Amino acid sequence: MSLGQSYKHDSAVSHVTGESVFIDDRPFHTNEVLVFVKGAPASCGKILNIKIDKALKVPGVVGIWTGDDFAHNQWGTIVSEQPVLARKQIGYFDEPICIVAAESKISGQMALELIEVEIESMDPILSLQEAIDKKNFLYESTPFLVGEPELVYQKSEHQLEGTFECGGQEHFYLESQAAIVYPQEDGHLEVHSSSQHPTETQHVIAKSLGLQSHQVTCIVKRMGGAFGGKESQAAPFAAMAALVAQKLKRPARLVLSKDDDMKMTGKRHPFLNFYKVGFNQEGVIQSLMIKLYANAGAYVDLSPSILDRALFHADGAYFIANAKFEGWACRTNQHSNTAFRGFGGPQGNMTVESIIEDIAKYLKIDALLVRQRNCYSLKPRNITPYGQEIDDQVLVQLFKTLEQKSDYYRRRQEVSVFNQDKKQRKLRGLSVTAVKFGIAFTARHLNQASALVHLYLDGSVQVSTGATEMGQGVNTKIKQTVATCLGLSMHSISVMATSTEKNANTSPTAASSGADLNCSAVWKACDQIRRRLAYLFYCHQNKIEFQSRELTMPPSDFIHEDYVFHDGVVLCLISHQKIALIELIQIAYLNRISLSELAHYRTEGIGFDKKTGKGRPFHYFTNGVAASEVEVDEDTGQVKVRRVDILMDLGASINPKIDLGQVTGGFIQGVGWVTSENLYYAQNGSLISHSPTTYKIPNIQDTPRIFNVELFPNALNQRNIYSSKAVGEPPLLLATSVWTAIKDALSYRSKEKIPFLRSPALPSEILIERHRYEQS
Amino acid sequence: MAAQIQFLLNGSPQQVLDEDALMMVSDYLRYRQQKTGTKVVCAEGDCGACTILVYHPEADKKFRSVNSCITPVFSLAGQSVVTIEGLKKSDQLHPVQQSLVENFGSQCGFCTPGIACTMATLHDHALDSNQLISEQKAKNYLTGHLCRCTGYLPILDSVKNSKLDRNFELQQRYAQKEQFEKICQIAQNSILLNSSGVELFIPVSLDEALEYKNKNPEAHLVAGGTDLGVLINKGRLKYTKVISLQNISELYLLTNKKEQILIGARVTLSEVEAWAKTQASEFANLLSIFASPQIKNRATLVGNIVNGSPIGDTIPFLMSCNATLVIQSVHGKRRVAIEDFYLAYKKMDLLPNEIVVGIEIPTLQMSHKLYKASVRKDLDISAVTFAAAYQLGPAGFSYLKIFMGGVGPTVLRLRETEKIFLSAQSRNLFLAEAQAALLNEVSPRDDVRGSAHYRQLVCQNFLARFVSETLEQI
Repeated sequence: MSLGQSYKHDSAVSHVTGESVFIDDRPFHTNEVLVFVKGAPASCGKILNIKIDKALKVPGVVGIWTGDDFAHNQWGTIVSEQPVLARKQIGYFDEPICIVAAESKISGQMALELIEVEIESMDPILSLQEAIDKKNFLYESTPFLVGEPELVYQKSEHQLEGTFECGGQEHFYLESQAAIVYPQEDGHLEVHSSSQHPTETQHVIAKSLGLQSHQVTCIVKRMGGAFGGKESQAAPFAAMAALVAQKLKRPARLVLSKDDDMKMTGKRHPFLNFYKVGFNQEGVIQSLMIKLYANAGAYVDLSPSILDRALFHADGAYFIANAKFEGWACRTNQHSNTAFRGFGGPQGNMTVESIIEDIAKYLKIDALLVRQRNCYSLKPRNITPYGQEIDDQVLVQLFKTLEQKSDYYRRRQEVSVFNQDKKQRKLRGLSVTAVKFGIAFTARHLNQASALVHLYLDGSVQVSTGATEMGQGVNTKIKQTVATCLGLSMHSISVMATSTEKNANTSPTAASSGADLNCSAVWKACDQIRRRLAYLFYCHQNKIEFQSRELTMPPSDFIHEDYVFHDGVVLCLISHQKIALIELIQIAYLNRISLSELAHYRTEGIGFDKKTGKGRPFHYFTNGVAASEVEVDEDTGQVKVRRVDILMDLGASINPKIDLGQVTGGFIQGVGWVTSENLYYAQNGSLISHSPTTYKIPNIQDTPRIFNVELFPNALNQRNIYSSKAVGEPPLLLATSVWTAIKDALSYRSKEKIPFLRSPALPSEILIERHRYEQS
Repeated sequence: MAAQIQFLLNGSPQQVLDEDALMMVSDYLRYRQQKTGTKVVCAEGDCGACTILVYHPEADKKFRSVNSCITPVFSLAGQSVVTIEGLKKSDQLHPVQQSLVENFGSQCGFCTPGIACTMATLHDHALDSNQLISEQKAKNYLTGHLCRCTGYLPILDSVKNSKLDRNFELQQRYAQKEQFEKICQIAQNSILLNSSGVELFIPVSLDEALEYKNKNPEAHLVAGGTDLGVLINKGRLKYTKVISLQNISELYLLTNKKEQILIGARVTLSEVEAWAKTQASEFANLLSIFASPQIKNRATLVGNIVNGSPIGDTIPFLMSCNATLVIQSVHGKRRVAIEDFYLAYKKMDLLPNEIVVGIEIPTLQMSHKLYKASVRKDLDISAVTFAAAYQLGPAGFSYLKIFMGGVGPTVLRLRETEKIFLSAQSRNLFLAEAQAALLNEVSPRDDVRGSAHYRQLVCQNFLARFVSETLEQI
C-alpha cells in the first residue's frame, strides 16, 4: 500500500538536475514578445493622462496598452471591483497602470521609463490606525457571540485590556508572478501561468478579454513556490500577457522581476486588534472580547474570507465560555493584501496566545499551565465560539506529551538561572503555543474537486486534477492514492499538468485542502474503475457475459471488497483466483468497457450560517504544539532561536516525510514573519524593502540550533482520506511560540510591567522595549 | 590584443565575441545556451538561486560558488564554469543530487539547482579534507542560499547523508590541464571588445590599466564586480566604458611581511577571511557573517572600501588598525590613511584617473573589538558597526581608537568619547559620561535597518559591552 509511505517528491529528480520546467524556462518562440508592467507613481490620486508616444518610438517596442484596452477592465475573486490596469483612480503605489510589449528587456525597460503619467494627487491612507479612525471599512464580519462577555468581564476576578499588532509578510516565493500566453486558432488562448488557481485565471482572462471560458485554456505544470500569493493575484498578470497575445497574435511572456513583484502584489494582512479579557486567579479565561482590524489594502481581493478566518482562530486552542469577536477589513492605499499561508488564522491565533502570555505574567503563573487550564477538553469545554464541537482530546494530549518531550520544567529552571546573571548581556525565554486549525474553505462551495483518471492498456495511468503543485507534494500524494487504489507501482503513474481542459470549475489549491479534496476525488475515480474491473473479473471467473449483466443489479454474491488490487495483480479473496491486472485490462478493452473515469468529490457535513455566526464551518481540525527557546542579545536586540520542539497531529499521514517538510517549512516561514521580515515603506507609501537585501527572510543560519519535529500519529480522523489531516498552513502558526518566547525573555527584566511587543519582534522593537524597563 | 572571451562551460570551450560578453552569466546560460537549470530570483546576489561554480586556474585551484546573476560573462575569461547541468555524469546523479532526492531536500525546486551546486563544492571539500561535514560547516557553505519552502532542515539532512564519490570530483572532471590549454593563451593577452556602444578593456598589466584610466577617466572599474552587477541589473547604472582588473596578476597578491600585510585590489574577501583566521580573529569573525560565500568568492576587500558606503562592514576595523590605501595613476603612487580617505557620503579622496591598487594593514599591535548589529545575524547589511583598537594599562586605556559605522554619513571616529576614556583615572567611572559624549558625536537616521533611536541605544550598549569586555577584565 503506497498511502502512508514516504515516497520521494514527484519532481525530485528533475528539481535536483535543473530539468524541471518553470514558466520562464520555456523555450522562446521566434516571434515571442516580453511584457513589462508600469507601476503607478503615487499611492493615491486620479490618473489624468498616460502619455506613451515617446515610449512607443523605442526600437524593439511593439505595443503599449492601458486599462482601456481590455473589454472588461475589472476582476476580483469575491467582489469584481479591481482594475487589471488602473485607469481612473490609483489604489496604491506601483499599482499596474500600463503594459509594454517589447522584443528585448532593454527596449521594454527603456519604454517604461519614457511613459509619462499625469496625475492629480490625493491624500492617501497609509496606516491601519488612520483607516480605523476614518472608519474606512470594506467588510465587516458577522460577530461571534457566546454567553454574556461584557457582564462576565465586569464580574471577573481580574481584567486586562490591551492591543495586539502584527505586520504583513511578503510571500517571497522564489518564482515571481509569471505567465506565457500562446495565441491559437479561432481566437483561442493557451495560457501557462504560475497560478494556484488556473480556473480563476481562465475566467479572469476570458472576461477581461471579452472571450468565453471555452476559448481559454489555462495550464499549470508547477510553481516555484506560492504560499497563497498566487491564489488570486496570478490572474491579473496572466490577463496582461493574454491581452498582448490577443492584440499582437504573438506569444507573450510576462515574468515580473522580484522587485516589481514585491512592490506590486499583495501580502499577508497586518492586523491591529483590541481586546479585553476577564479571568480568574487560576488564569482561566472567563470572558474575551476582541475587535480585529485587518489592513486589506486597496481592494477587496480575499480580505473578507481572511478576516473571517482570523475570527475563527481568535480562540486558538482554548475554550472561551463568554466571547465576542468582531472584525473589520480596512481599505488603505497599499498593495491589495491577499492569501498567505494561514489566511488570517495566524493573526487571530497569535492574539490569544499573546493574551495568555500576558495573563500568566500578570498572575505570575507559568504560561504553559495557563494554556493547559484553558485548553479545549471535555464537554462542555469543547465548543468553539461559533458553535462547532471539538470531538477529540488531542490538544490536551499534545500539550502533555510536549511538556515531557521538551523537558519543559527543567529547562524553565535553566532559563531562570541563566537570566539571573546580568553580566552576560543575554536573556533567554521559553514558551509553548498551540494551533488548532480549521480545515475546509469557509466559502462552502469551494470544497469540491474533480479527478480524471485514464488507465491505459499497458496498465499505466495518467491522472489529472485541479490541484496545482507548488512544492507541497500534492502530486506525490495523488500518485500514492492511485497506486494504492489500483494496486499499481508508483512509476507506472503520471500526474499531469493541471489544465482547465482536463478539470473544469476547480477550486484554488489553497486552505491546506489540496490533498484532502483532490486525493478524495482521485480515490473516487480509481475506485469506480476498480469496481468495474472487479466485477469484470467476477464475470470472467463465473463465465458470465459482462455486457448482458452491466445494466442490471450485480448479483448478490458479488462484493467488490472481495477483490484485492495489489502489485499489478487482482486477487479474489473468495475463489483465491488471481489475474494480472494488465490481462484484466485487455479483457475490459475487448469487451468495450471504459477504463477512464471522471469523478467529483464534495466535502460532506459542513456549513456555517453567516447570519447567526454559528455552524460547522470546518470538516475537522489539524492540531499541533511547539516549544521554543530563544536567546535575546541585550545590546542589540538580536534573537537566536536555540531550540524548537514540535509535535503535530496530522492523523495518519499519507506521506510522513513530505508532511514533515511542510511542518519545518511552514514553521520557519512563520519565524520570519514574527521576527525579521519587515515591510518598510517610504513616506509616500512606496515599499522600500522590495528585495532580499532589505527584506530578510530566514536564512539557514536562523534555523534553531536544535530542531525536533515529530508527528503524533493517530487514526481518529475518519472523515478524510486515509484518516489523514491537512498540513499546509497549520505549522506556520506554531512560530508564535518564538515570539511569545521573546516576550517571556523580556519578562525577566520587565520588573512589574507586562512586556509589550509588536510583531515582527525586530531587534529595534525588542531593544526599545527592553530600554523602557530601565527608564522607570 | 584579443577580441574575444573564452572559457570552459561544463568542459566545453566557449567563445564570446560580441555584446554577449557584457551579459550576466545567468542570462547567457538561460537565453543563449538554453541551460535553464540556473534560476534568477533577486538579480542582486542575495538569494543564491543562480549559483554556478567557477574555477580560476590562477587562484586557489578550487571550484568556488558564484552568483551568476551579477557576474558578467567577460569576467569568466580563462576560467572553467560548471552549472547544474554539469553535475550529473551521463545518467547518474551526483551524490549530492541523489541525497537531495532521498532526503526531501527539494520542495518547489526553484532554489534547488543553486543549492546542489554549492553542495557539490562541499562534497569536494569533504573529499579533500577526508572528514565528515559538521552541521555548522554545512550551514556556513549554504548561507548564501534562500529557500522559502523547506525550513532548511531537509537540506541539512541532505548534506549530512550525502555520500562521497571521487568519480564526481569537479576538478578532475572539469579543470584538467589539457582542457585549459586552448583557452588560457587567450587570457594571457589583453582583451579589447567594442560592442553596442560599450567598450570593454581587460588588461594584463597594471601599466596598461593606468594608461587606459588616464585616457578614459569615466571608465567604470571592475574588480569583483558584485556591486556593479546589481547596479546594472536594477537599471541604476548606464555605462559606456568598462575596465576589468581580473587579468592583472600582480593585483592578486596577498603579501605577508613582518611589519605589514599588503592586500592587492583583486584579493577576494574569501582569501582575506582565510588570512584573518590566522592573524586577526576578530576580523575573521566579522567576515564570517559578512556576505555569502558566493559574494566573498568574487568581491574584493578593496572594492568594499572604494564603494564608500557608511555601512561598509570592513571599514571601521581597517580604520582601527591604521590601514593605508595605495593609490596609483600614470603620475605615480601615493598613500592615504583609510581614516582620511572618506570625505563625505560616498565621496572619497580619489581622482578619476586613479586606481586603488591595494591596502596595507600594519601588523596588529593593539587589541581589537568588533561588533555588529543587524536585523538578521548572517548576510545582512549592518544597522551599526563598532570597531575599537586599544591597549590596557594598569589604570585604564593607554591607547584607544573607536570607530562606528551606520551612525553618520561616513564611518565616524569617536574622538571625544576616546578622550573621556583616555583621561579617566579610575577604570569604572565615566561610562555614562562616555555614552553621553558618544551621542553627541553620532548622527544616526531612521532607515530600513533601524530607527535613529534604536541606533543610539545600540551605540551606547556597544560602548558598555566594550567596557565590560576590556576595563572590567583588568
